[in-house]
Amino acid sequence: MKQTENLSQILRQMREPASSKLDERVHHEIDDAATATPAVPLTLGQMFASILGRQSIRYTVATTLVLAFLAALVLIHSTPSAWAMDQAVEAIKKYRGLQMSGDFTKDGKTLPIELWFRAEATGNFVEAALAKVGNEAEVWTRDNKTYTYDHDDKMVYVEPGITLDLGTWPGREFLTEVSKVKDYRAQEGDDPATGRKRVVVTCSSQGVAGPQSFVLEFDFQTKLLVSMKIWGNSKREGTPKFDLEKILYFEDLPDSTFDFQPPVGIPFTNAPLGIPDAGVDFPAMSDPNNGISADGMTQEQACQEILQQAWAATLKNDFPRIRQLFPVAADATDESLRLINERAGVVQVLKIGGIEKTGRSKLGPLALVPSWVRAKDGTVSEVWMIVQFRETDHGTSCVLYAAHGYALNVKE
Amino acid sequence: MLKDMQLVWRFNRGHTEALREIYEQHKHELVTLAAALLVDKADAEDVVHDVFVGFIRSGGRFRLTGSLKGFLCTCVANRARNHNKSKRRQTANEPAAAELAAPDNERPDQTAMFGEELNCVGRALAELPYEQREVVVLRLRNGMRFHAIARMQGVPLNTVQGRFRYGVDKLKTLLDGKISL
Repeated sequence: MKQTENLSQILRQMREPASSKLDERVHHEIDDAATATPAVPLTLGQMFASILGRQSIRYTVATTLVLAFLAALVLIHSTPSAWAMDQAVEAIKKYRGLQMSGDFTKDGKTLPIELWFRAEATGNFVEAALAKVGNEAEVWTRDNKTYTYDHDDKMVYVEPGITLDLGTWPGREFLTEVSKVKDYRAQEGDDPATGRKRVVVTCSSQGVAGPQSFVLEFDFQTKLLVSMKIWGNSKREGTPKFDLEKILYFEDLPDSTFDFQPPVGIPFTNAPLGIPDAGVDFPAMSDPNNGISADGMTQEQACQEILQQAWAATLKNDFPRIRQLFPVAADATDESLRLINERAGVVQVLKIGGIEKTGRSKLGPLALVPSWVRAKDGTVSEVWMIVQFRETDHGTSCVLYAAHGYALNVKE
Repeated sequence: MLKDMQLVWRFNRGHTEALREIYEQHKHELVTLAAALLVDKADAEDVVHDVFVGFIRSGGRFRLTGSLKGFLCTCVANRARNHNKSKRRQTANEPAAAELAAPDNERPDQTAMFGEELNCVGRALAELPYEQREVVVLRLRNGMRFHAIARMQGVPLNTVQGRFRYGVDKLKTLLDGKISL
C-alpha cells in the first residue's frame, strides 16, 4: 500500500511542459476561431458598460471613489451655446417613464433593441428597467436585482443591484454633465421629415471601457431628447453602437411594464463576476505601485483592508490615496474628485461586509464586497465594490476597480 | 469551479481571451498526461492540439458538468487511446517499419522526457500494455475513480481494477532497486 502511494507521488511529480511549437499551433487555432466567430457581450449589462463606460454608476454614492476618471475627462467647461441644457433638464422633470427603441450594433451585427425605464424620485437614475435585444436577450430589474435571460444559454443570470448600465436617466445630472463635456457642441436646425426645429448636441468622452461619442437630438419646442446615437469611438465613425431613433415619454409607468417572465422551466443562476477587458487594460490597473499589498492576507482580509483605506481616503478627501486605490481615477484632477465627493456626500462608513461573490479577470481574481455608508442627508446606502487582485512577480496585491451597479438605499 | 464556469461562459460567447486562459492554465498538465500515456512527446502534443481544436469548435454550446481540468484530461485520455489504437493498426500494417522502430523505452524523445530522476518511471510505464498504463496513470496520477475509468474504457469495473493491480505490480517489479518506493 505504501509502495503504491509512493508510486502515486512519483507519478504526480511528472512534468512535461508544452513546447513553444504547441503554443504556436493552438494559438493559431484560437486566432482562426476569433476570426470566424466575433465575441459577443457577456451580459447586456456588461455590453452597455463597455459602450457607455459604466455611466450609470456615476450617479451613485460609489462614484465618490470610482468614476473620477470620467470627471477628469469631462468637465472644464463648455463651449458657449444658444441652447441651454437646463431647458432640457426642466422639460424632463415632468416625466418618470421612458421608452426607447432602435438598433444595437456589435461586431457588425445589428439587432433591434427596445428599452423601458422608470426614474427614481430624484430623477437622476433609473429604478426599474426592461430591455429586449432582438431574439437574443431580455434584461429586467426587480427587487433591486438585475436579471438577464440569455436565449442561447437558456438561462437567467441574476446580479445584485441594478446593473443595467444604460439605466442612466436623461435627467438633471446626466444632462448637466453632458453640457460640460470638453468637446460639447450644440447646433440648431430643422428636421426635414417633420419640419420641426431641432437642437443636435455632439460630444465625446473617454472612460475606462474606451472612448465613446454621442449625438443627442432635442426637440427645440418641447426641449425633450428625441433621438440618441452612441458610438464606441471618439469621432462618431462607422455605424453607431446604439441608434435610438424613437424616444417616448410617460408621466409614469406601472410595475407591470417591467414584469418580464422567462419561459417556464428556464433556470436562474448567479451571474459570474467579471469586468470588461477594456477596464482591465486601463494601464494604471496593473501598475504595482497602485493598490495595497495582499501578501500574507486572505482575500477577505485584503478586501476589508483596501475598502477601509478607500473609505478613509474618501472621508478625508485624500485624493492622491484615492487615485492609488482606484487606478481608474489615476488621471483625475483634485477638482473633479472633490466635486464627485461633494455630490455623493458620504459622512460615515457603517460597515464593510464580506466577499459575496468571486470571479476572475485577465489580471487575477475578483471579489465583490458590500459596504454600508451614510450620506449627509441621513440616508444609508449599500455600495457594492469590485476588488481586483493582481498576482505578479512582486507578490499579490489588490486595487479597487469600480462599483457594481447602483448604490441601493437601505433602511437601517 | 466558479472560475471554470466564468471561463466557459466567456468562451461560449466567443471571447478568445478566455480560450487562451484555459489553454495556458492546463497545457502543461495535459501534455504531461498525454506524454505519460503515449510515451512520445510529439504524439502527446498532437493529441493535446487535437483536443483543443475540438474544444474550440464546441464554443457557443459547450456545457461544463464538472471541472474543466477533469473534462480536458478525459478528452486527452480518450484521444490518446484512439491515437494509440490507430498507431498500433498502422504499425501492424507496416511490419518493416515496426521492426525498425526502437522499443518505447529506448526512444530518445521518451528518455528526454520528465527529467532524469523520473526517467526510469517513464521507461517502466512504457513497458506496460497501454490499457494497464492508462488505468495506472489516470488512477495514481490524476486521481480518477475506477468507475469513471471503467466508463471511459468501456469495460467492467473488475477489469479496470484487474488492470490496475497487474499494472502496479509490474511497475513495482520494473522499478525494484532503481528507485526507492
